[in-house]
Amino acid sequence: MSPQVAAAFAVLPRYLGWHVALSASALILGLLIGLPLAVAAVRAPRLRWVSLTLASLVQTIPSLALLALFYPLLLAISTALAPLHVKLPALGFLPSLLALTLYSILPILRNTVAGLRGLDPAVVEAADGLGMTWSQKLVRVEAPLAAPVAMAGVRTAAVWTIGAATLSTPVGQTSLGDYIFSGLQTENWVFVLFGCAASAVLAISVDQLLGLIEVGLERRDLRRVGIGAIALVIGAAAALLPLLGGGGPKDRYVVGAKNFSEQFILAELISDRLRSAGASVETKQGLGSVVAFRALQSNDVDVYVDYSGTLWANVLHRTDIPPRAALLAELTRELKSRYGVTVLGSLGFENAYALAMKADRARALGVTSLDDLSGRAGQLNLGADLEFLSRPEWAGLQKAYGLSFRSQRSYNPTFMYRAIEGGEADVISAFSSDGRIAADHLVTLSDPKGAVPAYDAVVLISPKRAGDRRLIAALTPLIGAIPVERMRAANLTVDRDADKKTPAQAAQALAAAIR
Amino acid sequence: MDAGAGVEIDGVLKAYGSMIAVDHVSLSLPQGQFVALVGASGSGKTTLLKTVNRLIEPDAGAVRIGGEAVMAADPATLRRRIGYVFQGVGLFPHLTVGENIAMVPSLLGWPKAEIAARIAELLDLVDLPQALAGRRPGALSGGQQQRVGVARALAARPKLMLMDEPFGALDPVTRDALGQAYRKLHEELGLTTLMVTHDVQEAVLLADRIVVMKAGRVLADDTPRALMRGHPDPDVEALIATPRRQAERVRALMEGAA
Ligand SMILES: Nc1ncnc2c1ncn2[C@@H]1O[C@H](COP(=O)(O)OP(=O)(O)OP(=O)(O)O)[C@@H](O)[C@H]1O
Ligand SMILES: [Mg+2]
Repeated sequence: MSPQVAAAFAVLPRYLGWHVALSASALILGLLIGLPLAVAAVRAPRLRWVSLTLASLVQTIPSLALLALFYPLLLAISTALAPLHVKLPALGFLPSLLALTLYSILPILRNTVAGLRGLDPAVVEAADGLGMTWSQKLVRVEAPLAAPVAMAGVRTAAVWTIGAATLSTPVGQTSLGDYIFSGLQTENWVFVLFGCAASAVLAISVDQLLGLIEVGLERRDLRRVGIGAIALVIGAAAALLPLLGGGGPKDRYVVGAKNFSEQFILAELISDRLRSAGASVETKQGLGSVVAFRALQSNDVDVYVDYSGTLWANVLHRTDIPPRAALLAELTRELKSRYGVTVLGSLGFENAYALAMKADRARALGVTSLDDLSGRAGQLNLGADLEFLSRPEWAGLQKAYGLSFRSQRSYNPTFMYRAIEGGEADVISAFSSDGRIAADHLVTLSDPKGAVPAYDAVVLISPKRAGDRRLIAALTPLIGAIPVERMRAANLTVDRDADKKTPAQAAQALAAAIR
Repeated sequence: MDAGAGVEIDGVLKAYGSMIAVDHVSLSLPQGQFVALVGASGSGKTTLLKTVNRLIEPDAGAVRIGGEAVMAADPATLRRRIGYVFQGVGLFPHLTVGENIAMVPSLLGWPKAEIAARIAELLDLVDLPQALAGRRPGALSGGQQQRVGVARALAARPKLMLMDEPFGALDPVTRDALGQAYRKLHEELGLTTLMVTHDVQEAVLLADRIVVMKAGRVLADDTPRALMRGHPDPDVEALIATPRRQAERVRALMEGAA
């Protein structure tokens, strides 16, 4: 077995466990809401219209967006409830559960309503005429007769939910989607395929078992219904078993990571150190840039690495650009006083936003700095990552150097490097610690006007963990310990095509190198 | 409320929009009587029948059973005490024949053994083989399904039977046999029966009294014997003429042969 497949199998129990926990809870919740709603809706045409319309409306929202929308929603609710000392986690299980539940309601509701409305009126009248009460009629006649049609809806809901649960990764819930998202970022196609296959196998198995139950209900064959139900319960229990191990959520550290290789590696590095200190650790990977800080601030994440310039612009909303050390000092003060967030210190390298070009192209055009670029930008195409064009740094660069490119496009970081290699982009928004700069023969353009702030990689600690001795003791040795060359080398082992390493392997190599 | 007592239908009106299905009908069924309700399709027979067990609630008027207004009774309790044979049969397709027959006793919480014995007894009564008890209604002929419908209505030993075209799908021989068997049961158990039928001959042969409906109104209400002698209303006369002519012809044939 290839090391990547082995690495994929190693994390399967945890990913699968969470995936099953999430989709099963969402489906059960969807049933608890959808079935009674359907029963009520059959008798009330207005309720039926409203509920079916709303459920269809939810379905038109792309599932990723639906999941993402629950984050600000829960954050707002949490803020509103703050005086009552009620705190809702805005990231992770809860938003994923709510979004998937909403998503599962439509097929359950629509099929159950169809099943109940499709009943032979003569049979329903006979139930009344023999003297059944409302509930006896529902239990003895309507439910069993509508069950096969309703069950077909449950099957659809199950398949959708299991598929959409892979999208809960960006809101910080571990699932089989972790394979897909981290694989996409690190160009680990084995992981991407593994994640897709695992979720497909899960969906198909559940669908088949539900299908067995459906046929059983149709033919009034209790044996089939029983076998299907027992297999589902045993399967779910087996999948959930690995989650029961490890410490309770109370003493478990949550390590966050944004959505690129360096973040994955550093999260693994931090997790390893915490585990060595005897702590149990959980990672929330693939968080959006702003989501990550908000999650830390609200204690949904305990520790993650961010960059001083990013925090300066996006969190403190500052547009002035002080020197590197002054920026870091003020940032540390401000984050503590405003948000209670601790800046433990810089890891020792910078990961700045920098515009990069192919070395030979830059040489031919005689471009070494952003100043040189300003005159030529009109003939060049800019390739940016998904965030760059909407970030204040880009506005700052444009203002300082009057940059106006012939075209500008956003890419997923992986594909951005592909774009400059293929010539679709002439200039890209690179990261200075990215191993691919050297590997792809790119050069970064200097910023003589100092339009972009410093981007020291800093370890941030949540308000809740500010006084946590074990955490601070475990992570303090990392401060100032990672020179940019080491980080670049580690990043490259993950990003390159040949002899690819997983972030965990890269983190181990990095840990060994800096010891 | 004693469902065994007679039924009093008092000025019952039921309209669907501008369509008056039952137009101020008053009828009195003494306990123990067998009344046939005949009339053209759409004349309001089913509608009237359903007002008796509250499957339809009248817009005006009242129905009383044993002197008590049905609108004052709990519908479920009321209906369990009244046998009802549906025009569309309405057997539960997901239950076996036995479970269908046992529905009202099981709703009433009868002991299991008693229910099993009752199923066997009723299958005999409607002349169905015991082996059918475990089958689903889908595997029965139309006539067999109707007999199960009759058995189901009788299961909890009601004193009042409402029957809407109970023998419609049966061949003439079985129809006659089952009709006679039911009539015998009616006598033995002291039932009060209100039976809707299209077949005037059947009404003449089985009932103590025939009520003829047209467009929601009662046109005639008399004993079969009196009706056979003739009626001033041309519609009633037309309805009764056929069985009379047939009977006369049969008698002539029999006498000629003798
Ligand atoms: N739910 C309803 N809505 C509107 N009109 C109805 C409804 N039920 C019955 N009707 C109308 O009321 C009239 C009487 O119907 P009913 O079923 O009582 O007739 P019937 O005498 O039983 O006829 P048949 O011999 O065909 O069974 C008919 O014209 C019918 O169309
Ligand atoms: Mg009718």
